[in-house]
Amino acid sequence: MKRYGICILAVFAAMTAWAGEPIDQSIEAEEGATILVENVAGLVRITGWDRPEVKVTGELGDGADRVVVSAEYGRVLVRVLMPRSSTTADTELIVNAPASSPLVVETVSADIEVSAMNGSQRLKTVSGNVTTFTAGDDLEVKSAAGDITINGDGTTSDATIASVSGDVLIDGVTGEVNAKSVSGDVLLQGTGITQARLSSTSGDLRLAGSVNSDPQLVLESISGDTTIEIDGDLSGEFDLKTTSGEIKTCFGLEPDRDEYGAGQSLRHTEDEGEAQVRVKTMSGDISICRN
Amino acid sequence: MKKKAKEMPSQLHRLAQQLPRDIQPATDLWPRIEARLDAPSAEPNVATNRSGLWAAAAALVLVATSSLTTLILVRETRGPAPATAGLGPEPAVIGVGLRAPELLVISALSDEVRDVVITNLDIVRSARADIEQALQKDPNNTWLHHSWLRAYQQEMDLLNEATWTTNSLAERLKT
Repeated sequence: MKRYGICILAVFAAMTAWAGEPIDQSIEAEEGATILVENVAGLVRITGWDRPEVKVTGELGDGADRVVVSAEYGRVLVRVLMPRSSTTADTELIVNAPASSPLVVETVSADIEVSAMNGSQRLKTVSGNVTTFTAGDDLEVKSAAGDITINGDGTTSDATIASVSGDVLIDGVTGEVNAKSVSGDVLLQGTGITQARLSSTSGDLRLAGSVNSDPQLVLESISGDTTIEIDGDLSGEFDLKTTSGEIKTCFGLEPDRDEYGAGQSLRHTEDEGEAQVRVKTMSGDISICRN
Repeated sequence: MKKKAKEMPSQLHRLAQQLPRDIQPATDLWPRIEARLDAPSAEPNVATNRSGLWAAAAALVLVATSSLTTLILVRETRGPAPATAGLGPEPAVIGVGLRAPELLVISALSDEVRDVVITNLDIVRSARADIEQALQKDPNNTWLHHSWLRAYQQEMDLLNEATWTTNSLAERLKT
C-alpha cells in the first residue's frame, strides 16, 4: 500500500511543473478525448498534430503554483493552478494536441491562439485576444474585451461568436455564422458565404466577399453602420430599414422615406435570385453594393 | 353536448340552493379562544429572541459591508456619464448608472475588464433609451420591440459572462 502511494506521488510529481520552471509534460490522449485548457493570464497556444498525445511546454509565470496535466473520463485537462493568495501570473502554455480532438479553452486575460485543429472548439476569455483556425467543425468563441480573429479553410463550419468591446474578424467560414457584439466592430469576409447573422449595439457591421447561390444575410444594429459588399451576383429579396439613418445602394435602387420622415426603407425582390438580405438599424447607415 | 353544457349551470344552481344557509360548529369554540387571548403570554422564548438578535446583527453587517463596498466602488469607478434615461421603474440608480447589486457583482473584476463592462453597460443602456424614444414615435414597430429585448438580454449577458468567467475560473484554479 505504501509503495502504491509512493508510485502515485512519483507520477504526480512527474505531471507537474513548478513556478519559475519551464514546462515540459506529455500525456497520452485517447481518440476523441476533449482537450480542456484553463489558464488565467499569459498565453495559451494550441497546435494540432497527428500523434495520440498531448504535449505541454512553455513557462510557468511567477506567482503561479504549478501546471497539472491529467487524463480522466475521456478528457485531457491542462490547468495552471494558482495559490490562493495570488492574483495573477502570466503563464505561457504551448500545447500540441491531436488535431481532431474537441477543444475547450478558458482564460481570464490570457490570449488564445489555435492552429491546425479541426475538431469542435469552444474558446472563452474575458480580456484575452483570440486567434483561431477552424476547419469543418463547429466553433464557439466568447470574449468580453479581447479581439477575435477566425480563419477558416473554406470548408463548412458553423461559428457562434460573442464579443463585448473587442473587434471580430471572421474570414473563410462558409457555414452558419452568428456573430454579435456590443461596441466592437464585426467583419465577415471570404468566399462562399452562406448564412450570416451579424448584430451589434454600437459596433459597425461589414460583410464582404462572395456568396453562394442562395445566401441568407441578416445584419442588425442599433447605432452601428452596416455595409455589404459582394463580389459577383447577389439577387433575391432585399429588406433594408433604418429608423433615422440613410440607405445607399450602388445598384440603382432608391430607398423610400418612412411616414415619420426620419427613416428610410427599401424592399425589393428580384426574381432571378434566391438571396435573402435583411438589414436593420436604428440610427446607423446602411450601404449595400454588388460588383 | 351543447345541451348538456347549458344544463350544467341550472343543475349547479339547484344543488347550491339545497345547501344549508348556516353551518353550526360542532362545539362552541369562542369561550376557549377568548380564554387563550386573555391569558398572560407565555415565558419569552430566549432561543427565538437570540436568533432574532443574531439575524439583526447579520443584517446590519450585511448592510454596512454592502454600503462600504458601494461607496468604494463608486469612488473608484471611472467612465462616461450615466445613461439613466429610459431605465423605467427600476430600483434607484447609484453613482455612474449602476445599481448596487451590479456594483457588488463587478467588484471582483480587474480594472481593465471593469471599465469595459461599465462602458458597454452604458452603451447598451443608452441604446435602450434610444429605442424607447423611437418606440414612442412608432409603437407598433416589432423590430424595435425585439431590439429592446435583445439589448436587455445583452445587459444581463454582459454582467453574467464577465463576472462568471472571472470568478469561477479563478476560483477553480486556486490550489
